[in-house]
Amino acid sequence: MTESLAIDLQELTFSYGGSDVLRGVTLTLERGQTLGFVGPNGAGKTTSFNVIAGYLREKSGQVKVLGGSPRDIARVKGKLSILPQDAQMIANIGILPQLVFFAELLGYDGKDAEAEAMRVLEMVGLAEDVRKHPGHLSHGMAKRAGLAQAFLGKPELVLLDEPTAGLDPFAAKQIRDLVASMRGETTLVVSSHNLAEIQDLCSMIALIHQGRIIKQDSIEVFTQKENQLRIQVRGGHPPMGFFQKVEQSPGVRNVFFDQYVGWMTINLLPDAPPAEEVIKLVVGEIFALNLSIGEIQRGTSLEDVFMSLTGGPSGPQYGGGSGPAR
Amino acid sequence: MNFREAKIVTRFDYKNLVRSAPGVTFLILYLYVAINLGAWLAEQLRGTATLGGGANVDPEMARQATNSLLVKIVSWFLGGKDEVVRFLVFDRPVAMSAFFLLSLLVMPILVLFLSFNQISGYVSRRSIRYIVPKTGRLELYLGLFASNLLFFSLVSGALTAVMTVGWVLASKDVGTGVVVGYSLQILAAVWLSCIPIIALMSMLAAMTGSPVATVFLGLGTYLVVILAGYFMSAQTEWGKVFYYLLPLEPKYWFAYPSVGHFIGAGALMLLYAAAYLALGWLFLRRRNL
Repeated sequence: MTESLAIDLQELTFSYGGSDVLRGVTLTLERGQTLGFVGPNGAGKTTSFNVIAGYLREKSGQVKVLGGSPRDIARVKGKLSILPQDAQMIANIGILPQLVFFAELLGYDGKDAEAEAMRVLEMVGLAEDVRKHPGHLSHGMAKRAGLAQAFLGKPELVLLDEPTAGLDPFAAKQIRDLVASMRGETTLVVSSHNLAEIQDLCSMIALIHQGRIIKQDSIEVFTQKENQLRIQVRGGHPPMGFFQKVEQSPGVRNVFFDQYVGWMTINLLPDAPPAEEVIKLVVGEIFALNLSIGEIQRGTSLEDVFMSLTGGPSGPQYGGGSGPAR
Repeated sequence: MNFREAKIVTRFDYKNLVRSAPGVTFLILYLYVAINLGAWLAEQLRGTATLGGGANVDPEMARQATNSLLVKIVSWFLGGKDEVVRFLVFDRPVAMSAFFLLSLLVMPILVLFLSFNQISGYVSRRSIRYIVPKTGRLELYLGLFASNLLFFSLVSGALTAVMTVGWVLASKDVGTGVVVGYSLQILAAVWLSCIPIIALMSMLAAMTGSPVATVFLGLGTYLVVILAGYFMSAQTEWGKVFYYLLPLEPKYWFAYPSVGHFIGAGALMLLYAAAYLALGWLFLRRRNL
């Protein structure tokens, strides 16, 4: 069973100088999945990555990566690959010789190492810059050079810590497309503050907050895509009777309304009729009240879930007008 | 331990070292010290190739007779060991003997400036995070030690070769064979006496993870050991033990007349190096990167 897991963290703790950064992280990831690792600044994302990569030694708990310890290099070499957030390449040696060096360490010899280095440089769009030294690269190019080393060989598990941070939109899209093309054949863990990017790329989400994983699930469950509808009502506040009528409709569990922004959230029962039928019913009632519709969403955006679970600016404690419609 | 990977690390770091600040600093310091010292000694060698007279001459008489600075240098290094002074002054070209002893004193200190940036440079820039998932910490640690040793060996070997040619040309009454043989002995002794210092810096680099802290700690260790040895040995007999935290005393055994001393000193140097490397490894294998 354990062998099918790419990552298996159990009650993992880590401290920096007496301050607990990870406070019992439990996280599992099946091989072949793409996990988005999200959380506020200082939540413990990078520290978790560094423990998974074997850079940091856990204070307590269990760390299994590809079935064993990440510090057993002979076992994970060539299978585990990482783009660290803050690493720098050697400033006075060109990027091609550095990638050839990494490829040689992974077992490639001579011309094969150079061919492999060129392959990954082409992947990240740096084939024209092979002679440049890392000291002369822009932030975006340095990030792509770092990505190139993470894609050397055929890694089974790739950890990407903020892969698109600091990149221009064109370069960021290029990297997203690259990561998307690897889905399925490689287990990927991507950390990013760009939640839309995570929602596009990942099949699983883990949300870390204050050193603990507070939720881990598939993107569908996370965003309640199958059991929640959100409709933005414009033109006024619907009367209480409207909400009662919607709540009594078949398959509807309950209804919430945020009067400040006009968003109505309809939670559905597991045996609810197709969401399209509920939408048709509710939209008809709204038009009957001479109100209009701004937007309709299936499920919640990852950003809203993030804000709600971490107590962000539009979360429940700040929302003011949020709450059951009645 | 994967020797293939350690060799790859050595080759890569050697290229880096040749172009890096520590490598260039070391080359400049080494060239400046060695060329000036060598040129001055070649001049001395022209006049005082050997004092002659063989092993039966009383060194005190020889000192009074010659009043040579070179003899004073040799005597100062080996004060109280007259038979060794006699050997170095009368049986060997005295200028080369003075160079030998000065090299044994100075070179290990110069080597501190070459080797402070071993693993500490990779840790401080976090370049190590690109390398560690691809090879083990031990391969990296020993590979970096070997690249520093290789760089030092090539630089000191090349300079000794140049200086040997100079000495051969400068000396009129000493045979080429004697000069070349003595040069090789000097090269081997200086090389061996620097190995523990490079290993010491490997250990300090693994402990601190900072190039600046490593160089200061290296110089500080040298200073503290000498001062502690001096003051503690004045207090108690066992105070001398402090001197042996670094191979300060045994390195001069290389200059003794007997082959046994040379081999013993060489073995001790390798033992010191192994001990420092092992201690450094104990830190590195558990440290956070």
